[in-house]
Amino acid sequence: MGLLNALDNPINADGIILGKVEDLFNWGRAKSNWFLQFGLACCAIEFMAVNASHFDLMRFGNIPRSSPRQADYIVISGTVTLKMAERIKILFEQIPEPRYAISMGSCANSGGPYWQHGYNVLKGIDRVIPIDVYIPGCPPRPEAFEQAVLKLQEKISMEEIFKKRERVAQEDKMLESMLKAEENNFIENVNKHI
Amino acid sequence: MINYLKNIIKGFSTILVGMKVTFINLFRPNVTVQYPNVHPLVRAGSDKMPDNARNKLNVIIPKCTGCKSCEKACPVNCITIETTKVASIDTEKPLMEDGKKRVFWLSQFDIDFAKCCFCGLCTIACPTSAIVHSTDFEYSCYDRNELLVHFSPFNKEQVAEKKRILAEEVKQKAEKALADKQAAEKAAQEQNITDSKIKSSDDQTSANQNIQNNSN
Amino acid sequence: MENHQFLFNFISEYTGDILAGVLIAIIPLALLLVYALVAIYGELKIASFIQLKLGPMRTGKWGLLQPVAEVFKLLQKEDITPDGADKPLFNLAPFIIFLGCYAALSVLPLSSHFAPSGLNIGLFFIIAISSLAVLGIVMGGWASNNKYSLIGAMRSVSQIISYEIPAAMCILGVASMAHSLDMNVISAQQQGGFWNWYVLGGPAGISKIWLIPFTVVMFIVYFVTSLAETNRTPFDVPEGESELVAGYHTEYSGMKFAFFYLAEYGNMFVVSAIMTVIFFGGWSSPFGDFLNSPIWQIFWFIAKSMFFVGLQIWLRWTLPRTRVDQLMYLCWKILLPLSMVCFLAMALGGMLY
Ligand code: SF4
Ligand code: SF4
Ligand code: SF4
Repeated sequence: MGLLNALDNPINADGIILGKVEDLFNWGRAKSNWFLQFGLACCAIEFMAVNASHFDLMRFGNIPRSSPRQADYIVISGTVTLKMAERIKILFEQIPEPRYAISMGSCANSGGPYWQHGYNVLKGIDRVIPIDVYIPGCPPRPEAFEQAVLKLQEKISMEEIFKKRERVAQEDKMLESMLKAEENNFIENVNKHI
Repeated sequence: MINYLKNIIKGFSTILVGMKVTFINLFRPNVTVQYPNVHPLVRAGSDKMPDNARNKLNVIIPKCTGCKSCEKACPVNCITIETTKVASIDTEKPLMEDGKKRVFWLSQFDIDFAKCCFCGLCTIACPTSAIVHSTDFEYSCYDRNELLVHFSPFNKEQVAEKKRILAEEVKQKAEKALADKQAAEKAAQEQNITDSKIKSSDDQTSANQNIQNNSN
Repeated sequence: MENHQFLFNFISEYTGDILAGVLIAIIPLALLLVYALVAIYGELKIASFIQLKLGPMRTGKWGLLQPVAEVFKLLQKEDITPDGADKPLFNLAPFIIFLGCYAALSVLPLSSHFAPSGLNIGLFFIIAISSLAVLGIVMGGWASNNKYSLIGAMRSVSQIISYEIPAAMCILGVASMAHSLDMNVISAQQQGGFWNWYVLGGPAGISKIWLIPFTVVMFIVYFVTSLAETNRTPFDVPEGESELVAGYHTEYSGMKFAFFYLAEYGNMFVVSAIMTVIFFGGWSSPFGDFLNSPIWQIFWFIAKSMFFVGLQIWLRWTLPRTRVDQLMYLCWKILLPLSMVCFLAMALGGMLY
């Protein structure tokens, strides 16, 4: 009676109801990605090309938003100077959760052509914000960008909403017990030395 | 007044013209290429992409001589090559693709695509066209370390093994050289005893000449 | 005119008055939600086709489920209230804006036998209630504690209040010809073919022909003002991305932003519906008595309204954004005099016929 068991315990890993709800929510988030209108350097030109008619990013449900409050992901398209890095961090933090970030081009990935001698260039945007998908290229082909969007959608649709809580709770418990053990060790040590 | 009315009518009619243009566009066939369904190669109808298509680089290891020209040509230093000489005592006798004897093992050949700017200078510099632009552009990834691609056919143990063989050979050679040297020295000593008298008189005459030159 | 109560009477026979009232109130809401999904999809697709691209393609067949996915997405987004914001005002603003467009829906006569509320001062009610949107916008803009929001809200308020004057002139003109403010009555007067529509001078026989240019100009004036009142391009200076990040809703995220979005599309429908009622015969069929049963009347009403919504979308993707001074110039120096002249002519027509 797998089905009934699953219904009995909807929170469980193979819960059918919440599993379906989770799928639905993930589907919604994966298929409707609004990106922040934001470009940095030469890669942004290619990013514009992706949005234009020939490549048409809107096919994937990606609509430009000019306010970070309404965006779902940010595309770091270009050279990140140290001055801009602070702004990018602010912008990223203004995007409401769940939020994602795509690093486009060598410059954003690791400083690109400036990784050795660029005293003013951040050597990789992942030092400032967490990146979900890295696109190699200088600049990446528009098709490569579209593939990255598909990859991001894949990642979003694999995400866990309900099981996550359980997993996080378990991890918390483990962490707590570890901490406790450490504490006990510490106390024992202290006692010994006294 | 007439200008004012003219202005209004002109503004209105230009809006109508604009609307006509967009209306015609509404029914024109679109120009979009639907990427995941239509691969650019399929659309081009060939397996070639334009030069500098900014695709992934590919290294054909059997062709590569290990000359490091590409490493020097790269403007951003994203290629790291380490070569190990092929030892003559190695049981493996590697050949290049064109049948010549291989001189260097490629113990490390890394290209960091997170830094590469896909300029193609390395492909020009390579004397054997071992490093080429491929047609693969779909390699974006979730982890940046995946962009550091190792092209070397060896893993760490194999590299260590090759290095050990080379070191052995060097050692053997050194021993042989030492033995040769000793033998040569012995022979030279015997020669020296017979020649020593002639040599000393020569030395004296040359010393006299030196003193004269200095006083002058 | 008691027949607009038909549906209410029909339902209350089975359920009692209170439940029937609730049911009747839900109908416009459901209509609005379904319409918003259709309009968002239509907007994306029309925008894409005009730019020779495809628009959403990968969410269901032809991207048909795109607006649904967006709703699910917006449901899950974090609901941010900025630290420095005035919290009650900030949280209330989107609902007030939405209330404005929802309340306006309550007096629209969908058919001769059904209007959610058959108010006999319907047009007046709509003018009054649609000003609620201004209140919501200024609340949202002020409470966000963000300079872009505030400037956007100020621009929006000045724009809407200015354009309300020519709009009121248009409505007044038609009211003076119809001798009524009841939208159901105005619609009923225009029955009997498109020749009787007020955009073509109203139901006054062949002698009204001198009136036609005035009514047509009046219709154009009203169309322009309706674009401005819903903050649509070319009059979307309050949301100009190049200057103000996203105007008065810069700080809104998640569901609250969805309400702004919904209200924008709802307002488009409301102004289109008013346009339909006062100029294009409301629910009456354009071909006389052909297909003029109460059920078909709903179809005609929605079809006509959707046509104007489509026109607004089409115009949005044609024209660039105007400057603020051009916007005010257009309102005070062109639309207002034109609407005055046309109003005089229409009032004369109202006295004659
Ligand atoms: S990766 Fe290349 S194209 Fe992109 S911003 Fe850097 S230098 Fe420009
Ligand atoms: S393409 Fe240019 S940047 Fe990339 S490895 Fe070759 S030389 Fe270096
Ligand atoms: S230039 Fe060509 S042959 Fe020389 S090391 Fe590079 S890839 Fe190999």
